[in-house]
Amino acid sequence: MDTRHFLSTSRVLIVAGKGGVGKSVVATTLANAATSVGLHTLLVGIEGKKVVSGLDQRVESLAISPGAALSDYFDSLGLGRISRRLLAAGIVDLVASSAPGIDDLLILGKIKQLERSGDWDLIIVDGPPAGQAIGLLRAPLSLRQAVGGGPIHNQAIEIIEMLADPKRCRVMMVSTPELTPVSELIDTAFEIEDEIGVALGPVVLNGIDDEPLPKNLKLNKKSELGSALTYRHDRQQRHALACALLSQELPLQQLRLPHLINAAAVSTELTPAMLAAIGALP
Amino acid sequence: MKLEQLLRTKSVLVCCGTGGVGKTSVAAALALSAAQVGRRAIVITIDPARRLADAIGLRHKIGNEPVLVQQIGDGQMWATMLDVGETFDSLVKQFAKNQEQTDEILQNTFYRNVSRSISGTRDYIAAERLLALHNDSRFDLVIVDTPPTRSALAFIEAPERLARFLENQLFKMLISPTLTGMKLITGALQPVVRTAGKIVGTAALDDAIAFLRAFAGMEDGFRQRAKQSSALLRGPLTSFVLIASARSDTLEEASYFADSLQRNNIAIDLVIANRMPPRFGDTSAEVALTRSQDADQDLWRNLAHLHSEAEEADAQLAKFMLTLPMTSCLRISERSNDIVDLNGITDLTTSLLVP
Repeated sequence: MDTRHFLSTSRVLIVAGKGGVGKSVVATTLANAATSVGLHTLLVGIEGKKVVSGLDQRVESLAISPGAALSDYFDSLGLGRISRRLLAAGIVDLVASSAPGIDDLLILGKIKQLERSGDWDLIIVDGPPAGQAIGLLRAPLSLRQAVGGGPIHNQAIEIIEMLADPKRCRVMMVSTPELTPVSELIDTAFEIEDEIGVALGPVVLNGIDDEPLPKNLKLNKKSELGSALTYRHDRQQRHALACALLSQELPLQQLRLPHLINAAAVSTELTPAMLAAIGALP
Repeated sequence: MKLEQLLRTKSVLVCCGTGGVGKTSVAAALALSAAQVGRRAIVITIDPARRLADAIGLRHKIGNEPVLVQQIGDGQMWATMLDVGETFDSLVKQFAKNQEQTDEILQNTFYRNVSRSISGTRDYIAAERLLALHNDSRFDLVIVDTPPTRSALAFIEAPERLARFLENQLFKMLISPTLTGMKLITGALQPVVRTAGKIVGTAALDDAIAFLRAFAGMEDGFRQRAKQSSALLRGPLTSFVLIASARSDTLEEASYFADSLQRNNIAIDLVIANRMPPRFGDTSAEVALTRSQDADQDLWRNLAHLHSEAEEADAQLAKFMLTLPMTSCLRISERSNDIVDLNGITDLTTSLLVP
């Protein structure tokens, strides 16, 4: 598939995956790939964190946090000074707790605002860990019901519209090719698509080891060469099993990224691999 | 400090680190190791993966009651899940003046939301639970697996934040007994409350105010408790163990964690580097590559590949440890299988307690 076409299918891509699978690295890689095909790209971190290294300098980046999003919202209502006082008093936490999910709604509201501005061709969101992704995406649905009117209610409705429109927003899930994270991903994927109604893009399998290995050798398994080969062989087999399970259980395309010796080689190795994987999609 | 010394001398071990590094398994293995050196240890797990919950007998457990997992001589390993709602309810029962106040609070919608919502409250409740188990005579070491969060300090700061909030002027005004409903809110509070009402709707806000009023009189109890948790966490009986894996991206996050702990004068006593790539013999990657002229060149190339991974991980870890010159580091090799049962945890303890 044409890379530019693929990466402009939706305006917002939310990258989700459990801790340790390389979610932030994948988000960074996607942003680099999009920039390299000429898309004006924004990478958003949603936990107030700094962006991982290896980001192409042409990609703009932004960190948003619930506190800051709430502050913005107060400012937009002309209540800037009060908002600072509220924040200092810890009352924001209290107000946020009175309607659970409001912090998630504020984050999605900020993303929607960025999307609506039309300033970028693609906005990549380095999303929350997989379990929390469901909470984040579900928040507007539950708040629409819980809050029967007013700005939050309207905000929730507008966000639901964005989430439900695959031209505006898709979720890309990331996993390492191991059985446990892949099975968790399958459960989460069904929940996101069927229960919350957000479209899913291809799944990114990060760190697949599938280099050809020597075969049929009569080796002492205890020797350094023998035990190294056994280890590598077992690892490749686990990866192949996990990939097979995913293909069998989840009817989504897959973007497969290679296992890197240096996981930080985002711009030099992973970005070209991502471009190749997208190019290889039917 | 060496792990065994921590296990023998401390009363609280806080396992911190980002998600996905095997923190929950390591915390459980620490509890088992402590039992092996004769201590009565309990691990508080927060949201364990299903199979791990099975492994330590917590799969079908609801609520806070600790489970004895294993007895080793005089040593014991216990485990418990963190039930945020139940812990919060028991605090309310403890500090309420009477049954009436207890009921009023437990039935309040706002309270249900606060005490059951995932973020924020969980950190505070984990600290509270830690204090309760620390004071429980059945245990002499409490190991806590901190909630997955990006902010290293959320857990430590949660009780302090609550204490500050309860001492805040605005809060005191809100719970003042002269306040009856929104109408009487005047002066400085009016814009605050009006704004809050705009955001969450007046019904939700009325619940919040009703909660605060019902809460009046209990804040001292909560404040004292929060101060005790905070003192325990910052005191000499507690050690922080940072759990990391040697991938450069997770180490980047670990540095960020370590920085914010250190800025707040919290020392990390031990780093556990989990899932280190294994080595096969002593041949370096470089030397292995030179052997690739031999007949079994493919095998040497494979060894070189795996040893490059191990060397890269070592280099990343060494770079990270330079930022923590006073801290020792314990390495655990990657396992070929997920930890799915107590055998897996036991296996992990053998790497923890190497002589």
